[in-house]
Amino acid sequence: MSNLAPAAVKADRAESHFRLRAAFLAMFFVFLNFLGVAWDIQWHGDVGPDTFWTLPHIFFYGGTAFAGLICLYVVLITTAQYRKGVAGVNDETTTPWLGLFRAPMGFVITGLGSLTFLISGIYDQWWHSIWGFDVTLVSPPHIGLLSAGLINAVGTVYMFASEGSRATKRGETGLLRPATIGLSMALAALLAEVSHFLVIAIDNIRYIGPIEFYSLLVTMLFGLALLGGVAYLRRPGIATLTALWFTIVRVIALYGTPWATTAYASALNLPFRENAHRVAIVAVAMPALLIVPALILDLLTALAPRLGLRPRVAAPLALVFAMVVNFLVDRRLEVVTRLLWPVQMQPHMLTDLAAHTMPTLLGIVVAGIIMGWGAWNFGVTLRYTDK
Amino acid sequence: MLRKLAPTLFALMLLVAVPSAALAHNSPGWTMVHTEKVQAGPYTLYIENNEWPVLAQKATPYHVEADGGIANLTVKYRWVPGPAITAKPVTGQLHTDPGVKDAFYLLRSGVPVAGAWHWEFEVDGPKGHATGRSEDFMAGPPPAFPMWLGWLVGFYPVYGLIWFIFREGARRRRAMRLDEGARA
Repeated sequence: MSNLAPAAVKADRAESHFRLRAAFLAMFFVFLNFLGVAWDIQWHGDVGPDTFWTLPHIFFYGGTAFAGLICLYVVLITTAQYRKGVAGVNDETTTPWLGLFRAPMGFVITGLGSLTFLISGIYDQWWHSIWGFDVTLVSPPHIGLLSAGLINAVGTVYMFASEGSRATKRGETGLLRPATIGLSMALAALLAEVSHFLVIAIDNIRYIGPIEFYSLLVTMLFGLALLGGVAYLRRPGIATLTALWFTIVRVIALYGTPWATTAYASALNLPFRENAHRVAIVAVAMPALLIVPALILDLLTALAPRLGLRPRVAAPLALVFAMVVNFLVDRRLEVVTRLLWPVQMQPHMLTDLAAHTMPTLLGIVVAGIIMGWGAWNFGVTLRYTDK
Repeated sequence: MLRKLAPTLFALMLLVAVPSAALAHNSPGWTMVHTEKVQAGPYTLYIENNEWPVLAQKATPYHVEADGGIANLTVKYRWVPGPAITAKPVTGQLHTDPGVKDAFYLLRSGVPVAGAWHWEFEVDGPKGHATGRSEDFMAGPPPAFPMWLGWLVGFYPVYGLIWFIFREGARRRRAMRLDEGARA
Protein backbone atom coordinates (compact mmCIF):
# COMPACT_ATOMS: atom_id res chain seq x y z
CA MET A 1 0.00 0.00 0.00
CA SER A 2 1.04 3.56 -0.57
CA ASN A 3 2.73 5.67 2.12
CA LEU A 4 1.55 8.83 0.37
CA ALA A 5 -1.11 11.15 1.76
CA PRO A 6 -4.52 10.83 0.02
CA ALA A 7 -4.17 14.25 -1.64
CA ALA A 8 -0.74 13.31 -2.97
CA VAL A 9 -2.09 9.98 -4.24
CA LYS A 10 -4.90 11.81 -6.04
CA ALA A 11 -2.46 14.25 -7.68
CA ASP A 12 -0.13 11.41 -8.61
CA ARG A 13 -3.01 9.45 -10.15
CA ALA A 14 -4.12 12.49 -12.17
CA GLU A 15 -0.59 12.86 -13.50
CA SER A 16 -0.54 9.14 -14.37
CA HIS A 17 -3.79 9.52 -16.32
CA PHE A 18 -2.21 12.29 -18.37
CA ARG A 19 0.99 10.34 -18.99
CA LEU A 20 -0.82 7.16 -19.97
CA ARG A 21 -2.97 8.99 -22.51
CA ALA A 22 0.12 10.63 -23.98
CA ALA A 23 1.94 7.28 -23.97
CA PHE A 24 -0.82 5.48 -25.90
CA LEU A 25 -0.89 8.33 -28.40
CA ALA A 26 2.89 8.30 -28.89
CA MET A 27 2.81 4.52 -29.27
CA PHE A 28 0.13 4.76 -31.94
CA PHE A 29 2.45 6.97 -33.97
CA VAL A 30 5.39 4.60 -33.38
CA PHE A 31 3.27 1.79 -34.88
CA LEU A 32 2.43 4.10 -37.77
CA ASN A 33 6.15 4.65 -38.27
CA PHE A 34 6.74 0.90 -38.40
CA LEU A 35 3.95 0.34 -40.93
CA GLY A 36 5.19 3.28 -43.00
CA VAL A 37 8.70 1.85 -43.21
CA ALA A 38 7.30 -1.61 -44.05
CA TRP A 39 5.19 -0.04 -46.81
CA ASP A 40 8.16 1.96 -48.11
CA ILE A 41 10.31 -1.18 -48.35
CA GLN A 42 7.45 -2.84 -50.26
CA TRP A 43 7.01 0.19 -52.51
CA HIS A 44 10.69 0.26 -53.49
CA GLY A 45 10.73 -3.49 -54.00
CA ASP A 46 7.60 -3.66 -56.18
CA VAL A 47 7.12 -0.29 -57.86
CA GLY A 48 9.96 1.96 -56.95
CA PRO A 49 9.90 5.59 -58.09
CA ASP A 50 10.93 7.82 -55.26
CA THR A 51 10.81 11.39 -54.17
CA PHE A 52 10.64 12.60 -50.62
CA TRP A 53 6.89 13.09 -51.03
CA THR A 54 5.53 9.56 -51.25
CA LEU A 55 2.71 8.27 -49.06
CA PRO A 56 4.90 5.70 -47.26
CA HIS A 57 7.37 8.50 -46.44
CA ILE A 58 4.52 10.63 -45.11
CA PHE A 59 3.46 7.74 -42.90
CA PHE A 60 6.83 6.98 -41.39
CA TYR A 61 8.20 10.51 -41.16
CA GLY A 62 4.79 11.73 -39.95
CA GLY A 63 4.57 8.88 -37.43
CA THR A 64 7.93 9.62 -35.90
CA ALA A 65 7.50 13.40 -36.09
CA PHE A 66 4.16 13.32 -34.31
CA ALA A 67 5.40 10.87 -31.69
CA GLY A 68 8.23 13.38 -31.16
CA LEU A 69 5.82 16.32 -30.94
CA ILE A 70 3.74 14.55 -28.30
CA CYS A 71 6.92 13.87 -26.31
CA LEU A 72 8.02 17.49 -26.70
CA TYR A 73 4.63 18.59 -25.42
CA VAL A 74 4.87 16.30 -22.37
CA VAL A 75 8.46 17.38 -21.62
CA LEU A 76 7.63 21.10 -21.84
CA ILE A 77 4.41 20.90 -19.85
CA THR A 78 6.00 18.68 -17.17
CA THR A 79 8.96 21.07 -16.87
CA ALA A 80 6.61 24.05 -16.50
CA GLN A 81 4.50 22.24 -13.89
CA TYR A 82 7.60 21.14 -11.98
CA ARG A 83 8.80 24.74 -11.80
CA LYS A 84 5.37 25.90 -10.64
CA GLY A 85 5.38 23.20 -7.96
CA VAL A 86 2.20 21.50 -9.24
CA ALA A 87 1.19 18.55 -7.02
CA GLY A 88 2.20 15.19 -8.51
CA VAL A 89 5.06 16.69 -10.56
CA ASN A 90 8.16 16.68 -8.38
CA ASP A 91 11.58 15.09 -7.87
CA GLU A 92 9.92 11.73 -7.14
CA THR A 93 7.95 11.64 -10.39
CA THR A 94 10.24 13.30 -12.96
CA THR A 95 13.77 12.82 -14.26
CA PRO A 96 16.08 15.81 -14.83
CA TRP A 97 17.39 16.27 -18.34
CA LEU A 98 20.23 18.55 -19.49
CA GLY A 99 19.81 20.57 -16.29
CA LEU A 100 16.92 22.41 -17.96
CA PHE A 101 14.00 20.03 -18.27
CA ARG A 102 12.10 17.66 -15.99
CA ALA A 103 10.11 14.87 -17.60
CA PRO A 104 9.22 11.17 -17.41
CA MET A 105 12.21 9.31 -18.89
CA GLY A 106 10.25 7.42 -21.57
CA PHE A 107 9.07 10.63 -23.22
CA VAL A 108 12.62 11.98 -23.35
CA ILE A 109 13.82 8.74 -24.98
CA THR A 110 11.08 8.63 -27.63
CA GLY A 111 11.54 12.36 -28.26
CA LEU A 112 15.25 11.81 -28.84
CA GLY A 113 14.43 8.81 -31.04
CA SER A 114 12.22 11.02 -33.21
CA LEU A 115 14.89 13.69 -33.42
CA THR A 116 17.45 11.03 -34.35
CA PHE A 117 15.08 9.67 -37.00
CA LEU A 118 14.64 13.06 -38.62
CA ILE A 119 18.39 13.77 -38.55
CA SER A 120 19.01 10.38 -40.17
CA GLY A 121 16.37 11.30 -42.77
CA ILE A 122 18.30 14.47 -43.64
CA TYR A 123 21.50 12.42 -43.71
CA ASP A 124 19.76 10.02 -46.13
CA GLN A 125 18.86 12.86 -48.50
CA TRP A 126 22.43 14.16 -48.37
CA TRP A 127 23.83 10.64 -48.82
CA HIS A 128 21.92 10.27 -52.08
CA SER A 129 23.50 13.48 -53.38
CA ILE A 130 27.00 12.11 -52.64
CA TRP A 131 26.71 8.37 -53.33
CA GLY A 132 23.74 8.35 -55.69
CA PHE A 133 20.31 6.85 -55.31
CA ASP A 134 20.98 3.14 -54.95
CA VAL A 135 17.84 1.78 -53.29
CA THR A 136 19.06 -0.71 -50.73
CA LEU A 137 18.04 -1.24 -47.13
CA VAL A 138 21.66 -1.62 -46.07
CA SER A 139 23.09 1.90 -46.25
CA PRO A 140 24.56 4.05 -43.47
CA PRO A 141 21.59 6.46 -43.21
CA HIS A 142 19.08 3.61 -43.39
CA ILE A 143 20.76 1.85 -40.46
CA GLY A 144 20.48 5.18 -38.62
CA LEU A 145 16.77 5.42 -39.48
CA LEU A 146 16.02 1.87 -38.39
CA SER A 147 17.99 2.27 -35.15
CA ALA A 148 16.14 5.52 -34.43
CA GLY A 149 12.89 3.58 -34.82
CA LEU A 150 14.15 1.21 -32.13
CA ILE A 151 14.88 4.14 -29.80
CA ASN A 152 11.33 5.42 -30.37
CA ALA A 153 9.90 2.08 -29.29
CA VAL A 154 12.27 1.71 -26.32
CA GLY A 155 10.91 5.04 -25.05
CA THR A 156 7.32 3.79 -25.16
CA VAL A 157 8.35 0.70 -23.17
CA TYR A 158 9.76 3.01 -20.50
CA MET A 159 6.60 5.18 -20.52
CA PHE A 160 4.32 2.27 -19.65
CA ALA A 161 6.76 0.50 -17.33
CA SER A 162 7.08 3.72 -15.38
CA GLU A 163 3.32 4.10 -15.03
CA GLY A 164 2.99 0.45 -13.99
CA SER A 165 5.63 0.98 -11.30
CA ARG A 166 3.92 4.17 -10.11
CA ALA A 167 0.53 2.45 -9.90
CA THR A 168 2.12 -0.41 -7.91
CA LYS A 169 3.80 2.12 -5.63
CA ARG A 170 0.45 3.81 -5.00
CA GLY A 171 -0.98 0.40 -4.19
CA GLU A 172 -3.74 0.62 -6.78
CA THR A 173 -4.76 -1.71 -9.56
CA GLY A 174 -6.97 0.67 -11.55
CA LEU A 175 -4.17 2.13 -13.65
CA LEU A 176 -1.94 -0.94 -13.42
CA ARG A 177 -4.09 -2.73 -15.99
CA PRO A 178 -3.86 -0.12 -18.80
CA ALA A 179 -0.17 0.34 -17.99
CA THR A 180 0.42 -3.41 -18.34
CA ILE A 181 -1.57 -3.66 -21.57
CA GLY A 182 0.31 -0.61 -22.84
CA LEU A 183 3.63 -2.21 -21.88
CA SER A 184 2.81 -5.39 -23.79
CA MET A 185 1.87 -3.28 -26.83
CA ALA A 186 5.05 -1.20 -26.51
CA LEU A 187 7.14 -4.38 -26.35
CA ALA A 188 5.35 -5.55 -29.51
CA ALA A 189 6.17 -2.17 -31.12
CA LEU A 190 9.81 -2.72 -30.18
CA LEU A 191 9.75 -6.17 -31.79
CA ALA A 192 8.06 -4.74 -34.87
CA GLU A 193 10.85 -2.17 -35.22
CA VAL A 194 13.41 -4.97 -34.74
CA SER A 195 11.80 -6.81 -37.66
CA HIS A 196 13.27 -4.37 -40.19
CA PHE A 197 16.69 -5.70 -39.17
CA LEU A 198 15.41 -9.24 -39.78
CA VAL A 199 14.90 -8.30 -43.45
CA ILE A 200 18.62 -7.44 -43.57
CA ALA A 201 19.42 -10.74 -41.85
CA ILE A 202 17.49 -12.64 -44.53
CA ASP A 203 18.65 -10.65 -47.56
CA ASN A 204 22.17 -9.54 -46.73
CA ILE A 205 23.80 -11.32 -43.76
CA ARG A 206 22.43 -14.84 -43.85
CA TYR A 207 25.13 -16.55 -41.83
CA ILE A 208 27.76 -15.65 -39.27
CA GLY A 209 30.15 -18.52 -39.84
CA PRO A 210 27.84 -21.56 -39.92
CA ILE A 211 25.18 -19.91 -37.70
CA GLU A 212 21.98 -18.52 -39.20
CA PHE A 213 22.08 -14.81 -38.32
CA TYR A 214 18.29 -14.44 -38.45
CA SER A 215 17.71 -17.03 -35.74
CA LEU A 216 20.46 -15.56 -33.59
CA LEU A 217 18.87 -12.09 -33.85
CA VAL A 218 15.42 -13.47 -33.04
CA THR A 219 16.78 -15.28 -29.97
CA MET A 220 18.57 -12.20 -28.68
CA LEU A 221 16.17 -9.37 -29.43
CA PHE A 222 12.83 -11.17 -29.19
CA GLY A 223 14.11 -12.96 -26.10
CA LEU A 224 15.08 -9.62 -24.58
CA ALA A 225 11.61 -8.15 -25.06
CA LEU A 226 9.53 -11.20 -24.14
CA LEU A 227 11.53 -12.21 -21.08
CA GLY A 228 12.08 -8.55 -20.12
CA GLY A 229 8.29 -8.20 -19.86
CA VAL A 230 8.04 -11.35 -17.73
CA ALA A 231 10.86 -10.15 -15.44
CA TYR A 232 9.08 -6.82 -15.04
CA LEU A 233 5.58 -8.06 -14.29
CA ARG A 234 6.37 -11.38 -12.50
CA ARG A 235 2.96 -12.66 -13.48
CA PRO A 236 2.25 -15.04 -16.33
CA GLY A 237 0.65 -13.71 -19.48
CA ILE A 238 2.64 -10.68 -20.57
CA ALA A 239 4.89 -12.57 -23.01
CA THR A 240 1.83 -14.17 -24.63
CA LEU A 241 -0.01 -10.84 -24.74
CA THR A 242 3.05 -9.20 -26.35
CA ALA A 243 3.24 -11.99 -28.93
CA LEU A 244 -0.48 -11.57 -29.63
CA TRP A 245 -0.10 -7.83 -30.39
CA PHE A 246 2.96 -8.61 -32.48
CA THR A 247 1.01 -11.22 -34.45
CA ILE A 248 -1.81 -8.73 -35.09
CA VAL A 249 0.72 -6.17 -36.37
CA ARG A 250 2.30 -8.88 -38.51
CA VAL A 251 -1.05 -9.76 -40.08
CA ILE A 252 -1.72 -6.06 -40.79
CA ALA A 253 1.70 -5.77 -42.46
CA LEU A 254 1.27 -9.10 -44.26
CA TYR A 255 -1.96 -8.11 -46.00
CA GLY A 256 -1.74 -4.33 -45.68
CA THR A 257 1.59 -3.49 -47.30
CA PRO A 258 1.03 -5.36 -50.61
CA TRP A 259 -2.55 -4.04 -50.73
CA ALA A 260 -1.45 -0.44 -50.03
CA THR A 261 1.34 -0.74 -52.61
CA THR A 262 -1.05 -2.04 -55.26
CA ALA A 263 -3.64 0.62 -54.46
CA TYR A 264 -1.07 3.44 -54.47
CA ALA A 265 0.52 2.25 -57.74
CA SER A 266 -2.92 1.95 -59.28
CA ALA A 267 -3.88 5.46 -58.11
CA LEU A 268 -0.72 6.84 -59.71
CA ASN A 269 -1.24 4.70 -62.81
CA LEU A 270 2.14 2.99 -62.34
CA PRO A 271 2.68 -0.69 -63.24
CA PHE A 272 4.67 -3.07 -61.06
CA ARG A 273 8.33 -3.82 -61.77
CA GLU A 274 9.14 -6.92 -63.82
CA ASN A 275 10.97 -8.39 -60.84
CA ALA A 276 8.48 -7.23 -58.17
CA HIS A 277 8.38 -9.24 -54.92
CA ARG A 278 4.57 -9.04 -54.53
CA VAL A 279 4.76 -10.74 -51.11
CA ALA A 280 4.97 -8.62 -47.95
CA ILE A 281 8.73 -8.23 -47.56
CA VAL A 282 8.85 -7.14 -43.91
CA ALA A 283 5.94 -9.27 -42.65
CA VAL A 284 7.47 -12.41 -44.14
CA ALA A 285 10.61 -11.71 -42.10
CA MET A 286 8.60 -11.36 -38.85
CA PRO A 287 8.42 -14.61 -36.83
CA ALA A 288 5.05 -16.13 -37.68
CA LEU A 289 4.68 -18.33 -34.62
CA LEU A 290 5.94 -16.07 -31.84
CA ILE A 291 2.96 -17.07 -29.74
CA VAL A 292 4.59 -20.52 -29.26
CA PRO A 293 7.82 -19.41 -27.51
CA ALA A 294 5.86 -16.72 -25.65
CA LEU A 295 3.48 -19.31 -24.18
CA ILE A 296 6.44 -21.53 -23.23
CA LEU A 297 8.16 -18.60 -21.52
CA ASP A 298 5.06 -17.65 -19.54
CA LEU A 299 4.41 -21.24 -18.57
CA LEU A 300 7.97 -22.16 -17.55
CA THR A 301 8.63 -18.97 -15.57
CA ALA A 302 5.30 -19.47 -13.75
CA LEU A 303 6.21 -23.09 -12.94
CA ALA A 304 9.77 -22.30 -11.84
CA PRO A 305 8.99 -21.39 -8.18
CA ARG A 306 7.03 -24.65 -7.75
CA LEU A 307 10.08 -26.53 -9.01
CA GLY A 308 12.23 -24.69 -6.48
CA LEU A 309 14.16 -22.78 -9.17
CA ARG A 310 15.24 -19.21 -8.54
CA PRO A 311 13.89 -16.83 -11.22
CA ARG A 312 17.38 -15.76 -12.28
CA VAL A 313 18.27 -19.40 -12.98
CA ALA A 314 14.91 -20.36 -14.46
CA ALA A 315 14.70 -17.38 -16.83
CA PRO A 316 17.69 -18.23 -19.09
CA LEU A 317 16.69 -21.92 -19.15
CA ALA A 318 13.12 -21.03 -20.11
CA LEU A 319 14.36 -18.65 -22.80
CA VAL A 320 16.73 -21.24 -24.29
CA PHE A 321 13.96 -23.85 -24.41
CA ALA A 322 11.44 -21.37 -25.87
CA MET A 323 13.82 -20.14 -28.55
CA VAL A 324 15.00 -23.63 -29.53
CA VAL A 325 11.34 -24.61 -30.02
CA ASN A 326 10.73 -21.37 -31.95
CA PHE A 327 13.66 -22.11 -34.26
CA LEU A 328 12.49 -25.66 -34.90
CA VAL A 329 8.85 -24.80 -35.61
CA ASP A 330 9.45 -21.51 -37.44
CA ARG A 331 12.60 -22.28 -39.44
CA ARG A 332 12.99 -26.06 -39.59
CA LEU A 333 9.46 -27.44 -39.44
CA GLU A 334 10.01 -29.67 -42.46
CA VAL A 335 13.11 -31.24 -40.92
CA VAL A 336 11.35 -31.74 -37.57
CA THR A 337 8.33 -33.43 -39.12
CA ARG A 338 10.58 -35.74 -41.11
CA LEU A 339 12.47 -36.63 -37.93
CA LEU A 340 9.26 -37.34 -36.03
CA TRP A 341 7.66 -39.38 -38.78
CA PRO A 342 9.51 -42.03 -40.74
CA VAL A 343 9.86 -39.99 -43.90
CA GLN A 344 13.26 -39.94 -45.51
CA MET A 345 15.05 -36.60 -45.44
CA GLN A 346 16.11 -35.05 -48.70
CA PRO A 347 19.88 -34.70 -49.29
CA HIS A 348 19.84 -30.89 -48.96
CA MET A 349 18.17 -31.22 -45.55
CA LEU A 350 20.87 -33.58 -44.32
CA THR A 351 23.56 -31.22 -45.59
CA ASP A 352 21.85 -28.27 -43.89
CA LEU A 353 21.45 -30.24 -40.67
CA ALA A 354 25.20 -30.55 -40.28
CA ALA A 355 26.22 -27.27 -41.89
CA HIS A 356 23.71 -24.85 -40.31
CA THR A 357 20.96 -26.41 -38.17
CA MET A 358 23.18 -27.88 -35.44
CA PRO A 359 25.56 -24.87 -35.23
CA THR A 360 22.54 -22.54 -35.12
CA LEU A 361 20.97 -24.57 -32.32
CA LEU A 362 24.22 -24.30 -30.39
CA GLY A 363 24.30 -20.56 -31.09
CA ILE A 364 20.72 -20.22 -29.81
CA VAL A 365 21.61 -22.03 -26.59
CA VAL A 366 24.60 -19.76 -25.91
CA ALA A 367 22.75 -16.58 -26.97
CA GLY A 368 19.70 -17.66 -24.96
CA ILE A 369 21.71 -18.08 -21.76
CA ILE A 370 23.42 -14.70 -22.19
CA MET A 371 20.19 -12.98 -23.19
CA GLY A 372 18.24 -14.68 -20.42
CA TRP A 373 20.52 -12.97 -17.94
CA GLY A 374 20.37 -9.68 -19.88
CA ALA A 375 16.60 -9.76 -20.30
CA TRP A 376 16.07 -10.43 -16.60
CA ASN A 377 18.21 -7.40 -15.76
CA PHE A 378 16.25 -5.38 -18.34
CA GLY A 379 13.00 -6.32 -16.58
CA VAL A 380 14.49 -5.45 -13.18
CA THR A 381 15.62 -2.09 -14.58
CA LEU A 382 12.03 -1.44 -15.70
CA ARG A 383 10.81 -2.30 -12.18
CA TYR A 384 13.08 0.47 -10.92
CA THR A 385 11.69 2.92 -13.49
CA ASP A 386 9.03 5.18 -12.06
CA LYS A 387 9.82 8.68 -13.14
CA MET B 1 -5.27 19.29 -24.53
CA LEU B 2 -4.13 15.79 -25.56
CA ARG B 3 -7.64 15.03 -26.79
CA LYS B 4 -7.36 17.96 -29.20
CA LEU B 5 -3.72 17.29 -30.08
CA ALA B 6 -4.24 13.72 -31.32
CA PRO B 7 -6.90 14.36 -33.99
CA THR B 8 -5.15 17.60 -34.98
CA LEU B 9 -1.89 15.74 -35.64
CA PHE B 10 -3.66 13.01 -37.57
CA ALA B 11 -5.61 15.52 -39.64
CA LEU B 12 -2.39 17.42 -40.34
CA MET B 13 -0.80 14.20 -41.54
CA LEU B 14 -3.64 13.49 -43.95
CA LEU B 15 -3.58 17.09 -45.13
CA VAL B 16 0.09 16.74 -46.08
CA ALA B 17 -0.36 13.21 -47.41
CA VAL B 18 -3.12 13.77 -49.95
CA PRO B 19 -1.53 16.43 -52.19
CA SER B 20 2.00 15.17 -51.67
CA ALA B 21 1.16 11.60 -52.64
CA ALA B 22 0.68 12.54 -56.26
CA LEU B 23 4.19 14.00 -56.42
CA ALA B 24 5.65 10.49 -56.30
CA HIS B 25 4.59 10.13 -59.89
CA ASN B 26 7.05 12.84 -60.96
CA SER B 27 10.04 10.70 -60.11
CA PRO B 28 12.62 9.56 -60.99
CA GLY B 29 12.88 12.60 -63.28
CA TRP B 30 16.51 12.09 -64.20
CA THR B 31 18.06 14.44 -66.74
CA MET B 32 20.24 12.34 -69.02
CA VAL B 33 23.49 14.04 -70.01
CA HIS B 34 25.38 11.32 -71.85
CA THR B 35 24.49 8.77 -74.54
CA GLU B 36 26.61 5.87 -75.74
CA LYS B 37 25.71 3.83 -78.83
CA VAL B 38 26.40 0.08 -78.87
CA GLN B 39 25.88 -2.28 -81.80
CA ALA B 40 24.98 -5.83 -80.80
CA GLY B 41 24.45 -7.74 -84.05
CA PRO B 42 21.19 -6.49 -85.56
CA TYR B 43 20.30 -4.57 -82.39
CA THR B 44 21.33 -0.95 -81.82
CA LEU B 45 21.34 0.03 -78.15
CA TYR B 46 21.69 3.47 -76.57
CA ILE B 47 22.98 3.77 -72.99
CA GLU B 48 22.00 7.03 -71.33
CA ASN B 49 22.92 8.29 -67.89
CA ASN B 50 22.62 11.43 -65.83
CA GLU B 51 26.24 11.98 -64.93
CA TRP B 52 29.42 12.09 -66.97
CA PRO B 53 32.08 11.03 -66.25
CA VAL B 54 30.77 8.41 -63.86
CA LEU B 55 32.41 7.84 -60.46
CA ALA B 56 33.37 4.42 -59.13
CA GLN B 57 30.88 3.01 -56.58
CA LYS B 58 28.47 5.92 -57.02
CA ALA B 59 24.97 4.77 -57.99
CA THR B 60 23.99 6.24 -61.34
CA PRO B 61 20.69 5.64 -63.10
CA TYR B 62 20.99 4.26 -66.65
CA HIS B 63 18.35 4.06 -69.37
CA VAL B 64 19.04 1.56 -72.13
CA GLU B 65 16.96 2.10 -75.27
CA ALA B 66 16.91 0.13 -78.51
CA ASP B 67 16.11 1.01 -82.10
CA GLY B 68 12.65 -0.40 -82.67
CA GLY B 69 11.84 -0.42 -78.96
CA ILE B 70 12.66 -2.79 -76.12
CA ALA B 71 9.50 -4.90 -76.30
CA ASN B 72 10.34 -8.60 -76.71
CA LEU B 73 14.02 -8.00 -75.91
CA THR B 74 15.90 -9.74 -73.10
CA VAL B 75 19.19 -8.03 -72.32
CA LYS B 76 21.99 -9.16 -70.04
CA TYR B 77 24.84 -6.75 -69.32
CA ARG B 78 28.40 -6.94 -68.00
CA TRP B 79 30.67 -4.16 -66.81
CA VAL B 80 34.08 -5.47 -67.78
CA PRO B 81 37.30 -3.96 -66.35
CA GLY B 82 40.12 -2.98 -68.68
CA PRO B 83 43.46 -4.81 -68.49
CA ALA B 84 45.08 -2.09 -66.37
CA ILE B 85 42.84 -2.63 -63.34
CA THR B 86 42.22 -5.58 -61.07
CA ALA B 87 38.51 -6.05 -60.54
CA LYS B 88 35.82 -8.61 -61.19
CA PRO B 89 33.21 -7.95 -63.90
CA VAL B 90 29.76 -6.88 -62.70
CA THR B 91 26.87 -8.74 -64.30
CA GLY B 92 23.10 -8.53 -64.31
CA GLN B 93 19.95 -8.40 -66.37
CA LEU B 94 18.18 -5.26 -67.50
CA HIS B 95 14.60 -4.73 -66.40
CA THR B 96 11.88 -2.25 -67.19
CA ASP B 97 10.76 0.16 -64.51
CA PRO B 98 7.31 1.63 -63.91
CA GLY B 99 8.69 5.17 -63.98
CA VAL B 100 10.62 4.82 -67.26
CA LYS B 101 8.96 4.47 -70.65
CA ASP B 102 10.47 2.78 -73.76
CA ALA B 103 13.77 1.95 -72.06
CA PHE B 104 15.31 -0.53 -69.66
CA TYR B 105 16.22 1.01 -66.31
CA LEU B 106 19.32 0.15 -64.30
CA LEU B 107 20.10 1.60 -60.89
CA ARG B 108 22.88 0.05 -58.89
CA SER B 109 26.18 0.94 -57.26
CA GLY B 110 28.72 2.06 -59.85
CA VAL B 111 31.73 0.08 -61.06
CA PRO B 112 33.76 -1.04 -58.02
CA VAL B 113 37.07 0.68 -58.87
CA ALA B 114 38.21 3.68 -60.90
CA GLY B 115 39.74 3.15 -64.34
CA ALA B 116 38.80 1.98 -67.83
CA TRP B 117 35.68 -0.23 -68.14
CA HIS B 118 33.36 -1.19 -70.95
CA TRP B 119 29.84 -2.59 -71.31
CA GLU B 120 29.11 -5.96 -72.88
CA PHE B 121 25.58 -6.92 -73.87
CA GLU B 122 23.91 -10.19 -74.65
CA VAL B 123 20.63 -9.55 -76.45
CA ASP B 124 17.87 -12.02 -77.24
CA GLY B 125 14.94 -10.90 -79.36
CA PRO B 126 12.95 -11.36 -82.55
CA LYS B 127 16.14 -11.02 -84.62
CA GLY B 128 17.91 -13.78 -82.67
CA HIS B 129 20.79 -13.84 -80.20
CA ALA B 130 23.58 -11.24 -80.45
CA THR B 131 26.39 -9.74 -78.41
CA GLY B 132 28.07 -6.35 -78.46
CA ARG B 133 30.43 -4.13 -76.51
CA SER B 134 30.80 -0.41 -75.92
CA GLU B 135 33.84 1.79 -76.22
CA ASP B 136 35.91 2.00 -73.01
CA PHE B 137 34.73 4.58 -70.50
CA MET B 138 36.78 6.02 -67.65
CA ALA B 139 35.29 5.81 -64.18
CA GLY B 140 36.61 8.47 -61.82
CA PRO B 141 37.59 7.83 -58.18
CA PRO B 142 34.77 7.19 -55.64
CA PRO B 143 33.06 10.19 -53.98
CA ALA B 144 35.31 12.18 -51.65
CA PHE B 145 33.20 11.38 -48.56
CA PRO B 146 34.46 7.85 -47.80
CA MET B 147 32.07 4.97 -47.27
CA TRP B 148 33.67 3.96 -43.95
CA LEU B 149 33.06 7.46 -42.58
CA GLY B 150 29.48 7.19 -43.81
CA TRP B 151 29.00 4.03 -41.77
CA LEU B 152 30.70 5.59 -38.74
CA VAL B 153 28.25 8.51 -38.87
CA GLY B 154 25.23 6.37 -39.82
CA PHE B 155 25.59 4.23 -36.72
CA TYR B 156 25.32 7.21 -34.36
CA PRO B 157 21.93 6.18 -32.89
CA VAL B 158 23.49 2.81 -32.03
CA TYR B 159 26.24 4.55 -30.02
CA GLY B 160 23.48 6.30 -28.09
CA LEU B 161 21.71 2.99 -27.46
CA ILE B 162 24.93 1.36 -26.20
CA TRP B 163 25.59 4.30 -23.88
CA PHE B 164 22.00 4.04 -22.64
CA ILE B 165 22.34 0.32 -21.88
CA PHE B 166 25.42 0.97 -19.71
CA ARG B 167 23.78 3.97 -18.04
CA GLU B 168 20.68 1.92 -17.22
CA GLY B 169 22.81 -0.92 -15.85
CA ALA B 170 24.51 1.53 -13.51
CA ARG B 171 21.15 3.05 -12.50
CA ARG B 172 19.73 -0.42 -11.75
CA ARG B 173 22.71 -1.39 -9.59
CA ARG B 174 22.57 1.93 -7.73
CA ALA B 175 18.83 1.59 -7.09
CA MET B 176 19.25 -2.00 -5.92
CA ARG B 177 21.93 -0.94 -3.46
CA LEU B 178 19.62 1.75 -2.04
CA ASP B 179 16.65 -0.55 -1.34
CA GLU B 180 18.71 -3.73 -1.00
CA GLY B 181 17.05 -5.20 -4.05
CA ALA B 182 13.52 -5.00 -2.65
CA ARG B 183 11.99 -4.40 -6.06
CA ALA B 184 14.30 -6.77 -7.96
